[in-house]
Amino acid sequence: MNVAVSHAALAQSLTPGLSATDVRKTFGERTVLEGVNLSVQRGEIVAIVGESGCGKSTLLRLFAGLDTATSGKVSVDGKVSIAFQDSRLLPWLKVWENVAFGLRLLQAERKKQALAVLEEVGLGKLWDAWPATLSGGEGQRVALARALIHHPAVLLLDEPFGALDALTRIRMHALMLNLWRKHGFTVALVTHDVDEALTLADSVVVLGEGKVLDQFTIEAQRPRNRLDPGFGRLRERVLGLLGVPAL
Amino acid sequence: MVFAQTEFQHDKSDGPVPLDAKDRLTQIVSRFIPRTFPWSIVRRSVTPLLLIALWQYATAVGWVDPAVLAPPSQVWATFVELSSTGEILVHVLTSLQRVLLGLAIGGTVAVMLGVASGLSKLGEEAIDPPLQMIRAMPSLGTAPLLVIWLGIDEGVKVGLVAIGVVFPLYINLYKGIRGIDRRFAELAQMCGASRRELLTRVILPGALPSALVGLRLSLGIAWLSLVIGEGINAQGGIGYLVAQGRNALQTDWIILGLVLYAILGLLMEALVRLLEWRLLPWSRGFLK
Repeated sequence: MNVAVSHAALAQSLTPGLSATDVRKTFGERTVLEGVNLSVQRGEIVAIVGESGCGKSTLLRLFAGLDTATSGKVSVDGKVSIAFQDSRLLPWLKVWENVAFGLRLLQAERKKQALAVLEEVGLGKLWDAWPATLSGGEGQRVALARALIHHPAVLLLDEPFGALDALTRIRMHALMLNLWRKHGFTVALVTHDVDEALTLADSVVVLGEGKVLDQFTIEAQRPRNRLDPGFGRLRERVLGLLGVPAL
Repeated sequence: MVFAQTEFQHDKSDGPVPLDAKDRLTQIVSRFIPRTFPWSIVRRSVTPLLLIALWQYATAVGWVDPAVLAPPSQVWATFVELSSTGEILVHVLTSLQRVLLGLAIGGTVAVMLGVASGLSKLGEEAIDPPLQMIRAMPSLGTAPLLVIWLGIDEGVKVGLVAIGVVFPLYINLYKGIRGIDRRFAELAQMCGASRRELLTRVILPGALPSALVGLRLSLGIAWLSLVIGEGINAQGGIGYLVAQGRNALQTDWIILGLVLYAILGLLMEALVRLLEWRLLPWSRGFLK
C-alpha cells in the first residue's frame, strides 16, 4: 500500500508542469509551429525566447487553451492563468473589480480576495482606482494580481514586461520571482529579451522559425550576476542562434 | 551639478524683466477683481447679447417691419402674458409628453433590435438589412402614412418621433457592441467569466459610450420630428402656438414657439450629458 502511494507520488512529481509533443500550428497556408517538443518540470520557470513572429506567443496561446494545435499534443498540469503584454484591463471596472473579474463568489468574498492579491503585488492602495489612471507598471501588477487570484498551477506570461521602462522592469522581475517562490507555480515566460530570460529562468527554450533551436537549463543561484562569464557565454550562444551579434 | 548652478545664477543676474504698460494695467485691474472671476463666460455672452440688441434696435428704428419680424421685447411680452395664465406650461408639457412617449417607444425598439443584431450573427443577418432599407427612406416622409395608420391627433406625432429615434440609437448601439475589443472576450475566457458576466461586465459597459452618442443623436431627431408632427395638425403643444402665430400673422408667437423648442431640446441634451457623466465615470479623463 505504502509502495503504491509512493509510486503515485513519484509519478505525480514526474508529471511535467507543461509539455508539448510534436506540436504543429498552421494558420491557413502559414506554418507557425512545426513540430515543437518541450517539457517543463513543475515549479520551474521556463523562458521561451525568440524573435517576434517565431511562434512563441502562439505556443503560449496553445498552452492557455486560447487556440488549438493543428496536430500534436499540448498538456498543462493544473489550472492556468495568463498575463498579456498589454495589461488588458477593462477600463470601466475599478482595479479591484478587474482583479476579481470571473471569480464566482459572493461580492464581499470577491472583494476580500482581490484586496489580498493586490496587497501581494504591492498595489493595495490603488484598489479603487480606474485603470486609465494607472502607469504601465501598475497596470501590469494588476494583470498579475488578476492571474494570481485564480491560484494557478501554471502562470503564463506573454511578454508582460516588454512595454515597461528599464527600472520598472527590474522591479517587476523581483516581484515575479517573489511570487513564484511563495506560490511555487510553474512559469512560462515568453520574451524576446535574452538577458531577461537568462536572469529569471531555470530553463530556456530558444524558438526560431517554428522549431526549438536549443533548450538548456541554468543552474546558477539567484540573484544572478550578469557579469559572470557563464552568463556571457549563454548570452552569446542564444544570440548566435537567433543570428544577432552579441555586443 | 556645479555647472547647473552657475547657469542658474547667470539667469538670475539678469534681474526682473521690466513691466510694460499693459502688464501694469492687468496688475491694477486684478487687484479689484477676484482671480477666479469667470471672464470667459462674460466674453462668450457679448456676441449673442449684441445680436439681440441689434434685432431690437432694427425693429425700433424701422429697418425691419415688426409685422415681418417681431422685436425681442414683444416676444418676451407674449411669453409673460401666456405664462401668467399658465397656458404656456400646458403646451410645453404636451410637447414634452409627446417626445418622451416617442422616445420610450422608439428607444425600446432600438435597444431590442440593436442588442439582438449586435450579439448574434443570425440576428444581424435578420435585422440589419431591412432596417438599413427603411433607414434609406426619409423618416419624416412617412408622415402621410402615419396619419392614415395612427390618426391625425396624437398618433402621427408620437409615431414620427418614435420612428426618427430608432435608427441613430440602433446603429450606434449595434456598432458599440461590435466594436468591443475581441481581446476582452479572450480575457473573459481565461478568467472563467460566465456568459452573464461577459454580457454585464464586458459587452454592455463597452457599448454604453456609443449607445449614449446614439441617444443624443436620437434626441435631436426627436424634436425635429415633433416640430413636423405638430405642424400637421396642432392640437395643443408648442406647435399649436406656432400655428396660432401663423394664422394670425403674429411672428412673436412663432418665434416664442421656436425658442421653446430650442430650450427644451437643450435641456434634454444636458440631461443626457449628465447621464453620460454618471454612467461613464471611468472615461471622465478623456471627456474633459
